[in-house]
Amino acid sequence: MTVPQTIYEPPPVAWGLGRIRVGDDVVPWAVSQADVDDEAAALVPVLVRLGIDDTSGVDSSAPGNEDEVRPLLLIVSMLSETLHSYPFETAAGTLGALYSSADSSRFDSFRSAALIGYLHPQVVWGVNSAVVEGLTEEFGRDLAEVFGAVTGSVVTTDEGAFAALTAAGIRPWRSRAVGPTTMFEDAPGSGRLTYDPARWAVEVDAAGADASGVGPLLLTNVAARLTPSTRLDSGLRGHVPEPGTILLAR
Amino acid sequence: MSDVTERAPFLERPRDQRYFVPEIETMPREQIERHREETLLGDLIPWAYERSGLIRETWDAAKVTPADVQSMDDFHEKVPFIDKDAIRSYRDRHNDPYGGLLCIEPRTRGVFSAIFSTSGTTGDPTPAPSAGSGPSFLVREFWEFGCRPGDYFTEVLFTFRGPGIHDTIRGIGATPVFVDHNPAEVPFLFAINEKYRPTAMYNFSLAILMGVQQHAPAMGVDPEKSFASYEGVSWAGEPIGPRARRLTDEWGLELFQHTALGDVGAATECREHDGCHYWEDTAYAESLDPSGTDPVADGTPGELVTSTLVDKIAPLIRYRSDDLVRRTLAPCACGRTHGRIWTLGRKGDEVVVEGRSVLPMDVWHAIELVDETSSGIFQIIRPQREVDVLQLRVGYRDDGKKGLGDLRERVTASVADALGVVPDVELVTNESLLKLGPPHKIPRVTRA
Repeated sequence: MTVPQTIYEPPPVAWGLGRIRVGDDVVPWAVSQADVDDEAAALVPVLVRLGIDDTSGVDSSAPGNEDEVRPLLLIVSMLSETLHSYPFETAAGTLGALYSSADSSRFDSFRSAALIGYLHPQVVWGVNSAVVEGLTEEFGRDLAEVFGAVTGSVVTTDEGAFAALTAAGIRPWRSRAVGPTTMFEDAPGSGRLTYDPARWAVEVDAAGADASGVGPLLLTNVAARLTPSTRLDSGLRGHVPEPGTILLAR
Repeated sequence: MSDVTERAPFLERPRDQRYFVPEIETMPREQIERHREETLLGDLIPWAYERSGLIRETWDAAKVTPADVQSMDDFHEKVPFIDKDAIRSYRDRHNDPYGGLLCIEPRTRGVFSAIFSTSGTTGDPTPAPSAGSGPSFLVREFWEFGCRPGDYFTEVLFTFRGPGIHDTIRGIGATPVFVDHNPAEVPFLFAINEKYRPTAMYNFSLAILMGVQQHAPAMGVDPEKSFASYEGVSWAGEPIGPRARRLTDEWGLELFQHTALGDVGAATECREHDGCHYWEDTAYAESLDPSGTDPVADGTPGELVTSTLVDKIAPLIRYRSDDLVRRTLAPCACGRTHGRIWTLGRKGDEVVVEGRSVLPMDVWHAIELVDETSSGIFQIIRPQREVDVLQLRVGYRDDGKKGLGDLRERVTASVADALGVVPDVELVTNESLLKLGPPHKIPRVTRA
């Protein structure tokens, strides 16, 4: 006797309703499954660059692979950031990697430390000031000790975390939520965020730019998205030296 | 990778259909029991014994093998128990982050994609390996809440349990709205309520309730109007206190108590609100003498002991949860035939003072009766089970305008009136207790 298989309702058009930053505001934002899949596809080469090996083609049952350790990505984020964080889960799967999750909050920072200690991730993405402050002020942890156990890269999402980890001797990377997408530095600490020009276009809002050409960065989707971005104010300032690269204002 | 719901056949149900999967939810008891016996004895036990280090070690110590377990009577008589301490002990002794539970090689792709973790309320978080995605059996509860295809469903949660709830919401054809489980999120919640009119929420809690109380007056929001679109809202983390019940009633929220089922699943009220249903096609739940191994009678307090029927990645078999429950197998008035539980507290939460057993629920209402402590945020200090004096750490609302006055005496008197036991009360601010988290609850009992 078996229990009948559950048949689900057809999935909704909008995969989820999250939120993004537009200028100084936070606004609800709907994405589709296709949007999520495309964001994940764009993240795959980024994760490889950060240190997640592509093991998707490895035959784990083949002789000699008994001791293989799958790469692991620790995603540190809040549920409200799901539009940005969920594609990381999918991208990890594409690479044959495992992923784990912790909240990017002061209180839950103990979880990031515990999971790093237990699971030895290759990459940790999403460390912010709240996590850094929680670890040091609430739990008395040493940042070098906690993040030194990460075998690949530690990626920060704000300047406070970047500065704290740098001071602790870690070579962190920067990433930023830019509208509904996520951009990464091309090298740790370079300040140059990269994006795929086939998917997104970024321009400086000339009306708000200073004499050096630094101004508000506006985002437009090139690839199709459920909710279009048309010269969306990303809330970031910088300039665009060439398509595919942003230099953030310091 | 697309969501599994896109690969499956779909079924558009009538919107007024009561059950999401009628043939499972109203399955005759004899069919439930036959399914349990076949699945547990014929599949899960041999699988786990062969692959789980903890199960093998525990069973070997008890000199039991799967061949010794040919019936449910054998199961009850012979199968040894495991508990959280055993998992942590195995983890520490073997340097195994999964506590000896993992039955699939970590290098195996496809079925094993993620490692989530327990909340960490009772200690450090325990890594929990997972398939990672796809709808869960909670589609049945979410349908019962009244959410329907095309609706928005507010997901008020944290990330460490993984994306299963997103997929489950999508499994009933609704769109999840992602909100952090944090009182500071309430203004965004109000905005979402106004614009998208969601019909269900998972999960409301004391922390969110306090956020509503804090933000609604300042924003000029009437909670009853803001929440008017909701057909059903789960309440999780801890029992609903009397004051929370009164307030949410005033706001027109129909709350569905939702609780864990011994780390192998969950249990949730239906619209009858007569106990939390758990799904016997996914788990076997025993109710045993908390200090022994004998089963207790249906409807009387016992310790919840659970075995999975579906998790082959890290199966728990005869897991002593430490949760005190009343359990019944009687059919519910809603027509569902699966068991129900009422959560009473945790075995390790009980304090015996002056010969009287005290659980957090026993002091909750007395603390809520005092205006400054009406949020019901408190801890019982329990250095050991039997104590000479009931020690309470009670949170108060710090409005910065006046001192504590005789608050300590009033809280003491309120608890003494309710219990007949005079407590020793320490006052601290609500905020300092809430920081002890996790977001949806605080540890109600602490050693110091």
